[in-house]
Amino acid sequence: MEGTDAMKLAVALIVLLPLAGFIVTLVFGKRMGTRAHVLPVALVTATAVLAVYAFEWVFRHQEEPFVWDAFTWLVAGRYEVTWGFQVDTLTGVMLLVVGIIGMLVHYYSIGYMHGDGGYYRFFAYLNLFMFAMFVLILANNFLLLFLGWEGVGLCSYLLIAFWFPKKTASQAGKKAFLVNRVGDFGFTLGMLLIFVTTGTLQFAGVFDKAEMIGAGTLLWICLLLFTGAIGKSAQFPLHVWLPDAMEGPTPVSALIHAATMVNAGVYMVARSYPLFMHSNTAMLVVMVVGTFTAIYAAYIAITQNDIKKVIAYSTVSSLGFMFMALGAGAWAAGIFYLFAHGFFKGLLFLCSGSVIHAMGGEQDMRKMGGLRTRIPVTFWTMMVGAVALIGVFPFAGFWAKDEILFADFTHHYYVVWVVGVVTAFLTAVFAFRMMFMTFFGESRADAEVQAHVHESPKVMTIPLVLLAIPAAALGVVVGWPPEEGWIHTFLEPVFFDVEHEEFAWLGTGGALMAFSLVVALVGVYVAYVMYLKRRELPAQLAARVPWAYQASLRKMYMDEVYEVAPIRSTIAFSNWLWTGFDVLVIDGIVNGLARLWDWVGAALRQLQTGRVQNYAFGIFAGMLALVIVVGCIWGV
Amino acid sequence: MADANNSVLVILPGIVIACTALLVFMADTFVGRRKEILPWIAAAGLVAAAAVAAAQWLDVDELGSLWDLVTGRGSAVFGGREGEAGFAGMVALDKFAFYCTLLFCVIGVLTIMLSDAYMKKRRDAMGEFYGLLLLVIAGMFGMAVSTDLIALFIAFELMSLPTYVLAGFLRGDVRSGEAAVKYFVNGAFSSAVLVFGLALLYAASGQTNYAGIAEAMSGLGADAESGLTVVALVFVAVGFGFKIAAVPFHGWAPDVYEGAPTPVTAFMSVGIKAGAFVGFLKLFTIAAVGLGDIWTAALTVLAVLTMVVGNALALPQRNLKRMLAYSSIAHAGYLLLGLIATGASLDSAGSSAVLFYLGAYTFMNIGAFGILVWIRNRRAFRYGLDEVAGLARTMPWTAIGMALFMVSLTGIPPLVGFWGKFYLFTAIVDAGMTWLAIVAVVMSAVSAYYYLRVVWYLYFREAPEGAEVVADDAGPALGSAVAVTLAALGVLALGLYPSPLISAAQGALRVLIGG
Repeated sequence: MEGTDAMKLAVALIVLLPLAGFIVTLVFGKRMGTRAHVLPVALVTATAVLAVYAFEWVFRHQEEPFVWDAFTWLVAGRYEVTWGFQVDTLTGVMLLVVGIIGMLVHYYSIGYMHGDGGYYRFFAYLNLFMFAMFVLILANNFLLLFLGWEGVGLCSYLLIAFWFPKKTASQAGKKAFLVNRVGDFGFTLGMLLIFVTTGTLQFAGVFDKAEMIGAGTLLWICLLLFTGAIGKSAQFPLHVWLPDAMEGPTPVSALIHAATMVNAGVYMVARSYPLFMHSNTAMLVVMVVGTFTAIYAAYIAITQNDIKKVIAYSTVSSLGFMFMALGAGAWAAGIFYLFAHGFFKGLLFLCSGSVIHAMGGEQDMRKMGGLRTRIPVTFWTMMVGAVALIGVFPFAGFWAKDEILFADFTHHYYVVWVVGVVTAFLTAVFAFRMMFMTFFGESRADAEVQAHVHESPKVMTIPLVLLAIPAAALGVVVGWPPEEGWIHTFLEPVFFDVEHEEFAWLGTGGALMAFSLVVALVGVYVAYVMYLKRRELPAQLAARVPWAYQASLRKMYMDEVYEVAPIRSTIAFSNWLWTGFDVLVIDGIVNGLARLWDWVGAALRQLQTGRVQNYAFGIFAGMLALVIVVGCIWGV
Repeated sequence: MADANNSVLVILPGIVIACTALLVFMADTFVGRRKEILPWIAAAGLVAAAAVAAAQWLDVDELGSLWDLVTGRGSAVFGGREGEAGFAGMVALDKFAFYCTLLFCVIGVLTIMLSDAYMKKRRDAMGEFYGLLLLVIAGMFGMAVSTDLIALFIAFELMSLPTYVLAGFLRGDVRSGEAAVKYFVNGAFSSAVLVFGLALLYAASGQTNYAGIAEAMSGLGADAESGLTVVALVFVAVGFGFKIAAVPFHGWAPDVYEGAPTPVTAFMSVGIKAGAFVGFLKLFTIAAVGLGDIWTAALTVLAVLTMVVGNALALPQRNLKRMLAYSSIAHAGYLLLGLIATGASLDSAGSSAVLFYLGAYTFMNIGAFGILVWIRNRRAFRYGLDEVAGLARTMPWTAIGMALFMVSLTGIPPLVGFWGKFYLFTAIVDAGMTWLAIVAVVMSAVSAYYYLRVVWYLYFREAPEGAEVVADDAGPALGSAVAVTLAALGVLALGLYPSPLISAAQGALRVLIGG
């Protein structure tokens, strides 16, 4: 294969540069003060360039993925753990998303985090995150993927709780960590089952044997892996951590909790395509969970007042959309959506950060309004993001969303299709509710805050503009024409054997497309009427159906459910374990053993007399005893 | 048959080390006040010896396969050459000897760095100290290359005699002198037992060459397992057990380890142990391979006693130097498991685990002793456990290092001590002696108590009143700082990525057991 040496170097550097940035910044960053960002940003820029190079390489070698077992990490008996990398077309897409958005978020953070006490720490963690994320997507085996998976989880936890003196922030960090543990436990069990069944964790080895695995076992493997994806990608019922994760700095929300890490679950399921494709039941579960999460989160997003919470629930909903696509068999469409979503959702988050920056830290949309002319760059770029999100022709979201709905329809999942359309409608409503409340009408902020409203510095607005371009144009570039677009042919080596539906402009395809466009526009109009024209309407509606309003506002009471069922019962059980079992039985045994050992030690110490004759006698006696013992054993 | 030139080549690393020792002795009389150059000469000699050993194995055009070693694909680096014998088969330089030579040179260089500040206070004795140290290492090298009983015994004595002097190096200190005498008297006794055992082995087989002994023994068939061989092998095991401080031949160890200067203690607990282990590993696995049942029975008894008694004695110690001394006995017990595994199963896994553990133990134990030296250079310190209380606040980096070494000695991942135990214990399980592995794991748990207690003192106890009163006037001890840092990096790096070392250890064993 041509150019593999250069590719090896590129892949090694993609992984090593952010790691070096993390170490150096963590050790020396404090002394660098306000210049602590220079090295990490420079390294991530270089990494992004290399990621684009790697993408370009795979673009030229689509049929032949790059596989490299760099080195053996551990040897345990007959099992070897290798740092093995692979770059195929799926990885290529992920490389673009992670590399480019990661780089832009780094630049944006220079402005956003300016003057923060933990400036260097923030950049160190961001670089560590980039390292872990690249390991995750470049791995050629489940174990290395899991290493990256846990690494991004750790960074997520560190960055959510970045402002840890704030109680809500440290609580949110813990929550993310604990909830993800549940999912990761499933993932670990899934890996174990894979290893027991196939004897390897290498993707190639496992997927080769996929067909030979019994249906029951395969279902379990898929469900356990999917459990991990549910946790990481915030699907019902493990989605509760993601909205709380908004306690972290906004660039983190954009990078980790919208564009990259939360996609890891989707990526992992897509990577395990050869397993899932043989288990219809598992596919059905994926689709049902994704579909339910999509509409459920969109419904909650409608009433949230915190600008970041709206986008957070929107992200949960979008991730549900991706799983819906994968489960319905529209694999390429799902990844297409991931690709586009990374850009427009990252953009929306960064824009919300810019809004918050302008408002002096205010996140409540009820205290905003009229910002359109005050911060025009943020407004226009956020508008692009919102339009892309709700899927208006010809923005990025339109093509991806439409392909998913088309697949639902043509695969005869009509209920899913209906839910998808309703979700699209709700998405349009909450996205434009957010836009209208933030940027239109008169300002509802304090006079003091108003006086200080200002556009963000260039280092923040330029990344917004750079993200707005793909958010607008990506759909046409890679998704045109529908079902035949570049992204489909590009991903075909990965998602081989997928049934392909013909897209007819003057048939089902065109009709569905027109219909979903109408639905989105109606949603925008509804938002316009309710939140701009007749602003008394939402309150009246809430008074008319209070239960529906409260359910949405209180996030479907999920936190309360968790409080009662798993948390309280666990605490009660733990208390019993502590007082009933641990103190009496375990401590008893341990203390007893400790006392025994103290006694043995003291007794033996008596033999340590310090007298040389005694020692020599010990040697002699020991020798005699040894001769007798060994002699007796052999009977000579 | 190798000609004379080849013979010299075979032991060239040892010759380099021995000549450097002589050079140090001579230079000592010429350099006058500029004695700081002596440790540099000694270290340079060790590096040169390691380079010579490496050059003997690496063909220049095969340097590319160094990458294979780094990436864990191992043994190809040695060029696939068979060992080269010299002096009518009395010595052989093979992969095994190559591995050991490198290990010994690392131990030597670390010890030299460690003794930096210590020797600056005793400038007059610098020449003797470094010269004797090099002679010990030359003896250790001899243990690794010997393939003959006579060569083995010469190497054994070359290794032992300078050690007696080093142990009594603090001439003014009564305890140091007492330690040296105890060590010498008991050492002479055990050497006599050893040479008696070797003589009996010769009597049983009529051969002094390892391969010859093995051949003669297999020729004897069932008659080989006679009373004579039992006594011979037990005597050899006793001489060997003395050097590694196996129970019940360990009596001298705590007194000597405590009385000797700390850098010497560090060296003895690691270097002498390594030298003795590799020498006997070679003897048992080549010469007495057919008699595995006998010597594994003897070593099993020793191993159980050593692990139990060593840990039990370390448990109540509140003096860190003494605690490390006793725990060093316990580690000899774990190491014995590797030998037993090889003897019981004739598989090289156990022996390669021993080689790996020696490497791992070098870093963590020299590091642990180095921390003690380091603290003592900075302030008044009598190695008491109470004196390190709250160290995390006054000397944070030192505390991190100490905690690292303690955790690694306990055998907790992801540090190198974990892998050391892991390979040893899996080897003994694979050899079908699971009960021994259980004993070892339980004893490791016991050791966690006294190792982690140190960590607890470092981080969760308040410093005693007036802990910072006296600052030592030795000045900055750069050497010991570097040694400790290197050891810490070794513990971490090999813990995260152990495969280069383990594959090198496995490659080294192929010559012995043909696995």
